[in-house]
Amino acid sequence: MNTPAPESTAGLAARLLAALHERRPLPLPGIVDAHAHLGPYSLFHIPRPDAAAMVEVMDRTGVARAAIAADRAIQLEAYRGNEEVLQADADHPGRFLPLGVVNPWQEPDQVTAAIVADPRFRGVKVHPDLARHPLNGPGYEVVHAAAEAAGLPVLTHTWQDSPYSRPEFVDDLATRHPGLTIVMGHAGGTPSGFRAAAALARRHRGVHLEVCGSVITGPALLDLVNRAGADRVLFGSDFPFIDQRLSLGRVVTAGLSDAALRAVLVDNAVRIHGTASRKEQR
Amino acid sequence: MIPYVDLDCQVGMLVDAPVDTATPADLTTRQARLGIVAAACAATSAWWHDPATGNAETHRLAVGHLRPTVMLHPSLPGEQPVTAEPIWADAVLATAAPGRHGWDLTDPSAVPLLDALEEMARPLLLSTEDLDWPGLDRLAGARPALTVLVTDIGYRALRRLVPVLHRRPNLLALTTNFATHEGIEWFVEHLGADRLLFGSGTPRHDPGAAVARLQWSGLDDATVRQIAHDNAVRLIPALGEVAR
Repeated sequence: MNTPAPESTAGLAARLLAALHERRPLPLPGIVDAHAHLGPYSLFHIPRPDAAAMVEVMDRTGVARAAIAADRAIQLEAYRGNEEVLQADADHPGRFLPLGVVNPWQEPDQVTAAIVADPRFRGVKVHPDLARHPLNGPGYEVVHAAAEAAGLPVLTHTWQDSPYSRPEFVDDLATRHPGLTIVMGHAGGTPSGFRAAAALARRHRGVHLEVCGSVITGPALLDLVNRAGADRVLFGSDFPFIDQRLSLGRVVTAGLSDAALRAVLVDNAVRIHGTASRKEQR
Repeated sequence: MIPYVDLDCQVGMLVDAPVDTATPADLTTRQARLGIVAAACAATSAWWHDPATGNAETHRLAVGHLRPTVMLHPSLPGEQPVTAEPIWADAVLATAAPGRHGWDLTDPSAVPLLDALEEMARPLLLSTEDLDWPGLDRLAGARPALTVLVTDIGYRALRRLVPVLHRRPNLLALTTNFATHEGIEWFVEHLGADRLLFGSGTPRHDPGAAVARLQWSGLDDATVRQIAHDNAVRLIPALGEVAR
């Protein structure tokens, strides 16, 4: 899809709601799904978890691009999974923002260096809970330092009370790496986690909150945006791990202002990921 | 606009999350924005506090397009049987939360309750958080005349759900938090649109998310309408009357 055209946000919420009612794609160019995956997963069956099916869904919803990390990379092996997202990007130019996964147990120095050196990657994804290593632990330090130096965002799974990814660890990370852009996947995961994540976003300019999850609702999303600021909140869905339409419907119907909707759906992600490839940005 | 009939919603507060549907007026406002024209509704207290107290509150709160559901509970000595509560005759469907309320739906003492439901041809809504798939399988097998609506399917259920639904034609699925990617489309292809009905799970889950999943599905308009509305009013004609 093309670079989003400047347009008025006046009446945006009503236009998006009307599109939902009429079963049309959202009439807002440049929507980015900031938290997505690719491929099957061990614990349950996912129908059509491939890139082509994902693009079909995005065409129906009106999502221009999705930041993807392969399920194979987060739950088994980073190298092969990272190859999968690059292939998806090659097969569907302009629709995906490939995230390279770094696993602290699988040559993190080399994998991080490869991601930073390859302009096809638009960021880094880490999943401390699956790797069973704390987000601020030594195995991830190379990732954070290199991403900060390269200006690459790091998307991390976060969950309140997790021994590996709780918001306090983001606080520590953001304090030690003030120039690092950190996207808190699931924004802490629970209502208490949302409150903690919002406080971090106010405290650290690099901390952003992505809002997919099983327990977040419209009122919780509205509260999160009010506390953190609309400039710190990103739409994401986790799809095809779960259904993209859930998170998107939640954002569109939560009662956000026109300006907040545009920020959450488009502008914040564009600020983090850019519109051109890293190669073109050089 | 496709009209929606919600078979799974509650009105009231939650202990661990903000809600914007604390009153019937709040819930009505939220539902109207989404095209939800009728709903089977309970007070949150029936699920999360005390079934008998909650039933009384449901009976008071569920008016207009919100039709009451009755929460089953066993009656201990000195307690009024649920079948004698004023809500019993008015409820459009029954619910049970044996996990939440500390009882066993498969215990012989529950037989009279289930017999009464069958006699009134009233469906029973059960959450997978209260009864697991093997339990649902046993219940539906033992009660082939009882229609059981399964809610809270989640996104990890297809491998467990499919064999049980193939075995038990009296089990129907609600869309409440049925969060599998392309899951709605897959369900319709392999199990049929007549076995899937709309539920939002409000306020535990977001009604906007529930509607969006169907609206942006790959299903045609007629199939979406069938799942959103037609299946529910065929099963519970009283909801069709308030949905007009």
